[in-house]
Amino acid sequence: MSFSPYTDNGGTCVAIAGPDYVLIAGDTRMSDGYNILHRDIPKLSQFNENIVMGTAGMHADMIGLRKELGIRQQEYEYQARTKMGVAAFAQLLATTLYNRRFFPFYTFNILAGVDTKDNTCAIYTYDAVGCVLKAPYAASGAGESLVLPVLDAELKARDPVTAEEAKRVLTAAFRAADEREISTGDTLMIWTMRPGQEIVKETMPLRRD
Amino acid sequence: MVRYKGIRRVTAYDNGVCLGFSGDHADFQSIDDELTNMIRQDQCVDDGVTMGAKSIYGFLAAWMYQQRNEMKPLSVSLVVAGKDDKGEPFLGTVDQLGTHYEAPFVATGFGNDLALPVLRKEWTPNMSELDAIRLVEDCLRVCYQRDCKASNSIVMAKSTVDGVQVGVEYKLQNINWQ
Repeated sequence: MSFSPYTDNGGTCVAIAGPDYVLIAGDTRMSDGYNILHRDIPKLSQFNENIVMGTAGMHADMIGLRKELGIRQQEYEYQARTKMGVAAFAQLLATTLYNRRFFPFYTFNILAGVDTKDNTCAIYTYDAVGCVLKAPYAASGAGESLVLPVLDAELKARDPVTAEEAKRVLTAAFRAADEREISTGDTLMIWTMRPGQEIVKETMPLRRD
Repeated sequence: MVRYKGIRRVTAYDNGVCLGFSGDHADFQSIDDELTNMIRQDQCVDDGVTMGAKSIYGFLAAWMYQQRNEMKPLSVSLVVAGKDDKGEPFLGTVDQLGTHYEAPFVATGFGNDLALPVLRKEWTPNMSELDAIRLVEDCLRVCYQRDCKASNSIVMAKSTVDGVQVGVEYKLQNINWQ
């Protein structure tokens, strides 16, 4: 049995965007196979008041990716003398991931934030090697296939919902995931971003089994 | 076959940090050498600031991740215990892929399957030292009973405000084989 540099620490991330808000959420469970390693490891990371990234997949690569992106984001802000917007960061994340095309970061990312050019809210969803798609809602990680049908049923091809309704949909979707998917659970972190406002951070309990 | 008996899995450093490991002994010796030199160098600089457990943990996490990125993993699971920079108790673990986290209790190897359930049931935030030692012994007893490669000879290292100490080796008693 040779060494594999990868493992899947599980978990799920979900994001929903509206005209003047974006919600991004992730559970806090970290697992390794059938073992729960930790019940309180956040999958959401804040880069500045405009940019939040949710990451499912391998924990070590998540931290490594955060560090690389954090350095580039700070450099950008020192040189440009302005806060980085989510559109620029989306491009940065895509190129960072693709640069590792032949030894990928085992991460499944969703980016949420405020575009500083026109004050709109956006979500970008990625695969492990940097394929990027701007979308009105997204899910990634182990529970992706359980969450996405719930989001499609409630949000696809309908008028944009309010932030409260979006939170209801997101919570329901996560309950679907934590019920049936073993690596999702413990606590749900939901962050709400609005242009020009501080990020509102909430937590909710999920199943601990 | 047990090839080497009496191999200790815990060690302590002058700066109050305890390190425990599971896995490749050669890789652990290499890590031990590196940390000993690093901590000695840190003391020789003599600037009034020395690395605590959290710094050592951060260094090990970065180093282990770097090695995995180069496909030259250090094939160990490490436990780092001591005090953080503010003097609060610190406990963290790092594995060969660079996975790292802090927790009030951790386990490596078979301990993940056998000891963590016991710890999750019995650990409380304000345990006395004696209760904690008994709890650790209970966990090691379960591991000895269920892991055929384990032995009942154990060593504990302890980090307190007064410093760090590796205890004497002793045998677990009262093993119930029924």
